[in-house]
Amino acid sequence: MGFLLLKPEEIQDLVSMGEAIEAVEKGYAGGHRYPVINAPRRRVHSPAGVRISNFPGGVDEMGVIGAATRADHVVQLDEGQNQHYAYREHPIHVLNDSETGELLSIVVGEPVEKSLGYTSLVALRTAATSGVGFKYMVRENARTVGLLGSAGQAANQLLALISVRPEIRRVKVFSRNEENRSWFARKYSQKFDIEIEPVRSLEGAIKGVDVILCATNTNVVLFDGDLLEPGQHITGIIGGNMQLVQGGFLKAARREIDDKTVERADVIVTNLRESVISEKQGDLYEPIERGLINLEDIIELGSLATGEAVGRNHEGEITYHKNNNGTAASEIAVAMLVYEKAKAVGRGTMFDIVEPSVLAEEFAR
Amino acid sequence: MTRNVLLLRPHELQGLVTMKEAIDIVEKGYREARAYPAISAPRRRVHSPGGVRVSNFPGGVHGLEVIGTGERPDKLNKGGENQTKEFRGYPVHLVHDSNTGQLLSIMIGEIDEKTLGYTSVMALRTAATSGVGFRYLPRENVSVAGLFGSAGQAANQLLALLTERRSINKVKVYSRDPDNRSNFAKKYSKCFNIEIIPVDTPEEVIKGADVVHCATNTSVPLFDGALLESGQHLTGIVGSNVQLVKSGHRSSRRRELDDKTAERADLIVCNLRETIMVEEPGDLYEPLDKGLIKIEDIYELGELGTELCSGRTSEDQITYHKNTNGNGVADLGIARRAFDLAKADGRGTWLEFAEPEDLPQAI
Repeated sequence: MGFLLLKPEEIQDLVSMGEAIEAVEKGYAGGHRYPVINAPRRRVHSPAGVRISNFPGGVDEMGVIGAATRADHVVQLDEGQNQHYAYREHPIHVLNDSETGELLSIVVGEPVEKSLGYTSLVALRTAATSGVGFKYMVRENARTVGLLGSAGQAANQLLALISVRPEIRRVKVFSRNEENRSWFARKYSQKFDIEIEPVRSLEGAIKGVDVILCATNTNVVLFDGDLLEPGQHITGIIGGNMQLVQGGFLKAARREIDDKTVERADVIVTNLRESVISEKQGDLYEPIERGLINLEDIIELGSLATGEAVGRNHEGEITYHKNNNGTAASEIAVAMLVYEKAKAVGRGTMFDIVEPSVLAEEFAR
Repeated sequence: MTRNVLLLRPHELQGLVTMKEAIDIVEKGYREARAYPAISAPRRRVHSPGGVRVSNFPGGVHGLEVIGTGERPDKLNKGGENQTKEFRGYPVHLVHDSNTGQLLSIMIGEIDEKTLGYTSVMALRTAATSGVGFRYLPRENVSVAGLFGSAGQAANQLLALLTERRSINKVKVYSRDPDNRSNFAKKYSKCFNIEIIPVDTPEEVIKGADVVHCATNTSVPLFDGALLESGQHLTGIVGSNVQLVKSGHRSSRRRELDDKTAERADLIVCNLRETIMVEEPGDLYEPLDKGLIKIEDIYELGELGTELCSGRTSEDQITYHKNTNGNGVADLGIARRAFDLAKADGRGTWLEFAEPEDLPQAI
């Protein structure tokens, strides 16, 4: 018995966005067909602000089941307007064979997109999950994008969109800091060979675009849902969890998208409905509580992937993907991809583990 | 900058933690979590179509400066009166500092009781969790224990009881196989220096015992609750989860104790009430569902020994601890202790990782 240990340094240049989107799609489709293979993210918090996020689950089509775990030291700044981190630890992925149960690998570190490198935590799988939504929800003839945010999540989200819709030509990027948005425009217009224009106002990034991507770390609503136009697709990436409020780290549930957006959207998709309820995630939980929408009206990402549900019925619909949080369907899918590729090129260190029967002989009294 | 993380493997986790230490740690874990619930979560299990199950145990004990997760794979055989496993994987514990969030150790393997060694799955923390119940629930000066089961869990459960209740001087043991029960009696009467008598029926185990503890892998009730006698303390360790039923691995929820037991018990303590709703363990979920007992009347382990629940209040009460399953608060506390001891003993392999911010940035 043995397992392959992969270190952060060994997993930096292995996976492309296109491959990650494909793997995540398998994860959510499999979770939809066989729901007990997946579970919502669960978080625990220490009184000092350390938060453990645990993502149990697997992707049977890829032959894996296990869990991912990540520790963050969470700090709230600006009276809770933004969430920051005093420390973010490497995530750890424990991969077991989904047929035999045997430990295959422990992957330590963030799997990153190979052309983008390390940008921000969980940026690859978050963007790849948005990517599954883009595939089924964004209009085929979409050409323009409004991007809110200008850091690592923004770069990855944009790459996911152009991986799925290569016809996208023009991006308007807004973030509160002028320097950041100009830097982003310069850097990624070259990298992605696409026109990126920094805009001065948030409204400027929403008006007239086909797709709106939220890629910030906000704790409060970014824009008024009344600004949305028919045919637009919106993706939001902030989930939050009630334990943040319970533990006293935040006064109210995190928000990113307002109730109006939920009311106006013709199609709402979320990764896992159970997370909305178990974590009381503001953007969907609060409008459900107020009776503006029903939980049953929300489509799960997995049912788009299996073809059971349709992400967009016609050109004029407003579609909304609340990419509420990663689950093992994405975490373990991407980690398994990393393991397969690393193994194929001979990376990592094999460690032996003694069989239980040997242990029993040597150590049992 | 790089950091060091200690990799510990199964052979390096033996002979470290005693039952007494484990019981103290588990008590602290549950008690702190009762005061600060965000540090604890119920066990959560996921299942593959091939029958592999991964159990997850997130949690921590801030007083011991630990937070993290435990994870354990196994592969179950379908159905049956007893739960049997085709494969039992080692648990993996990811031990972090609860002040900084830094990973301290990747720990693969069972953390077994120092003197008992490798016996069964998660036997030390399961027994230590029962041990917290033994501390508060049996009568003073109990002398006779009735034990169901004769394998690793039984040995650990008995050690936990003897650790907390030194007045025990006689143990009656029953398991279905006569050889197993007499072997257990021979081996552990010597090991624990106590009288252990193998008996032929469940009735004999219960009759006249002060403490009855169940340590089997049954999936059906072990005895009729009508047999229980006033003043007895009862501990059960089978929890299970409703996902086994949902995925078709079982046709009904696992049971170990019957509805009559739940009805007759004057004081019921579970590990975490949230687990009853998340996993629907049959022994408590089904009598709740039938309206035989009420959730408000069930105490949690973290309330025992505090002003919320002082434990047994009279000599003739039947007390019942349903040790449904382990939780991260118990596992991570014990893992932290094992890490400290292993590190001090120079065990394990130090792994060197780059700090997250020192990895190559965007090209």
